[in-house]
Amino acid sequence: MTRRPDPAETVRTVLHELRSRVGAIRLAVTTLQTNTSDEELMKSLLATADRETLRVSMEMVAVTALVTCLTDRSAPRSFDIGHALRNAVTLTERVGGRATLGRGSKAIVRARPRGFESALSSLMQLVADVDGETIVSVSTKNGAVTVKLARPDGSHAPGGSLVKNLLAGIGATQIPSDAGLVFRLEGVSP
Amino acid sequence: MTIGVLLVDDHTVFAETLAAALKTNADIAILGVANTSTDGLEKATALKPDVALLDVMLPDYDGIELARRVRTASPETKVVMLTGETDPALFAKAMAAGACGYLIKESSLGDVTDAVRRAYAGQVVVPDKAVSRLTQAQAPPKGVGSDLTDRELEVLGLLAQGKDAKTIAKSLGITWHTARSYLKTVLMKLDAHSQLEAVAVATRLGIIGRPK
Repeated sequence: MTRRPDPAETVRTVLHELRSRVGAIRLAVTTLQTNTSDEELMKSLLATADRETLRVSMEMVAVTALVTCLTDRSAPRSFDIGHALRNAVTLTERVGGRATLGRGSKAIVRARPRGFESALSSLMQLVADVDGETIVSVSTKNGAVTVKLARPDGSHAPGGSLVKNLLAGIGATQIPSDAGLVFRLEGVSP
Repeated sequence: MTIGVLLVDDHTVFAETLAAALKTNADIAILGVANTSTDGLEKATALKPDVALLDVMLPDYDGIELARRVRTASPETKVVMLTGETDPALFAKAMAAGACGYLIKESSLGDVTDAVRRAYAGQVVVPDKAVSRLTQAQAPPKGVGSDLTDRELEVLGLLAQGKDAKTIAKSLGITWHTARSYLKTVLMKLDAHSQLEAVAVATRLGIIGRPK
């Protein structure tokens, strides 16, 4: 299992990203208040403020999941990843996101359960972004379980410290990929 | 007169929004935008901007080191940190690295525009709201700054209000040279490397109140 990050440093890094989004919103709004006559710029700034507000909201939920993972001191246990992913999809839909559980296989992983489903849900939302969708697939090989979260068009998934720390928080190892967010979890042989 | 500005920030949306917002000012031109320190230094070296707005947390090496390198590569460039980091220690490090200003990312367009213009004019730039977040009240000093005279404290107070040597001289009815001499003494007694650092140190140590 991968080593979990230091909570204080993690929160500091993640808050830095959130502050950048809040900063972009404030800049957009205060520029609009200057009564700029450039219509194209106005539209662009309004779109930025709208999109970044939704992203901040989404990321705040993700930070909550991250903190839950980081503060979980319980021992790792084995559970069905398929069940956890189905619950994560439900969580995602409950907040207006779209995620579909595609090709998958029943697999048992070994991880800390607290915050696990919330973290998976946040990862699905971050991959889908504000108005997209995430397709989830699972595969197993040599005792490891690989999960892929991808957009339907196969476009590049987001990086950033929040994604990186959520993965570390659930004990996952990211596998570099151009076709989505791919990560490996410690599996348990049936 | 147009002020040439370089932006260095790894958060693409923030950098793009800032560039678009600053462009609404006729006297400000965006010379370049970089997302890493390496690219930022290359652009600063090539473009010699009047003002560089630098984030602190950057992917390759941090913005404080970048500030130092930019000041070496392009001494005329005024460096203003624009960051989400509110750690007072980073603030002091930035000042020691040659930055002349420190803005927090939640600043309004007006704050940023004002900072660019004031930095270009050679002034120290820390908006009031940022000072209160970047400085922390501590016990009064036993050594540093305790030997400041009343006149030096007056100079320090005016400096904290964003006044430059010329304005301080006018306010106190003294010559520019005398004002400069007081400023040098204040910096020396506070063990500060810049006027901005002097204000930060004095505020943090409770020698002066937080600027209004």
